[in-house]
Amino acid sequence: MRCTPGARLALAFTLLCAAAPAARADGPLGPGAPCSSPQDVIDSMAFETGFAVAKGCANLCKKAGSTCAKNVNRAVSCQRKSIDDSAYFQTQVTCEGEKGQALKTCAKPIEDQRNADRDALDTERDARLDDCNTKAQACAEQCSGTN
Amino acid sequence: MARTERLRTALALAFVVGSALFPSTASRAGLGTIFTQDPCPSVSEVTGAFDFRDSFVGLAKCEQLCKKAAASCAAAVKAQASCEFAFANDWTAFDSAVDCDGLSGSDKKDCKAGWSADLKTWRTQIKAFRDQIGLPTCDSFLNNGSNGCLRRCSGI
Repeated sequence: MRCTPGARLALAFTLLCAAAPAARADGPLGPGAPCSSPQDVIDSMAFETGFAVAKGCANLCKKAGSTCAKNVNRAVSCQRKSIDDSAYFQTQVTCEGEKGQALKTCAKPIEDQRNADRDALDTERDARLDDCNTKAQACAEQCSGTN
Repeated sequence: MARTERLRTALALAFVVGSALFPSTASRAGLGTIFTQDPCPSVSEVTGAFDFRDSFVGLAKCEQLCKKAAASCAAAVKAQASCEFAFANDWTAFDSAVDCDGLSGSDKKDCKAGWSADLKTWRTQIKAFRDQIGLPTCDSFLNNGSNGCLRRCSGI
């Protein structure tokens, strides 16, 4: 039996409201983070079992892989902005009144941490984009015979 | 029952009993979609991460930093809404592709039209969350007369 689109939309809203927030690092200026993690995105998507359609299954798998990558990249962009905001405000508060070399010395550990966080995020992005490809390939393999 | 009324009823029911009936990870096969949960942060997670009301008390550049933080907060809220818009579009595109598969003629047209109407309602909800909750919260963090950031700068 087909669900009405309205019922499906209601279910989508339910998922939106009921989803438990994952444990996340502190945000730029308060508790929690303003972003989903790339792993959150992977966990929110499940298309590796294919699509129950008569035609176009492989095409949907390809599109789903692209959608997955788009959401991973969105989460990464958000986290990068959050890392930069955190570093900026931390420098402004911690190094207030410092100038010249004293400012550079004060800001260096914050900048080092920011750079390390950005590097770790880049590594995370690559791994999660691989996850999207893996899901898309598994999806396509389920489409045999339906193209 | 009219379609709009049916949808409203379904939404109300979903909000009331949703947490109990549906865990955060539902089966995709039952939904016909690629998502099992929202890939975006919630509005409250975003604003919570930007609660800057007490962040700059006592600093010489307090007011300037308050305004900068408010701008960052607003940008993050808008980014959250953009994420939700994309989620709504993608959810609808994939679910409708499965739901309307095999239909033809007016049945297919009606099926697609139903999904378009639902997407419109969904987008209205997202805008409301952004404009009536998210952005006003950022503004309140900055301007609230009793505990806003600017008020804190003045030592009160």
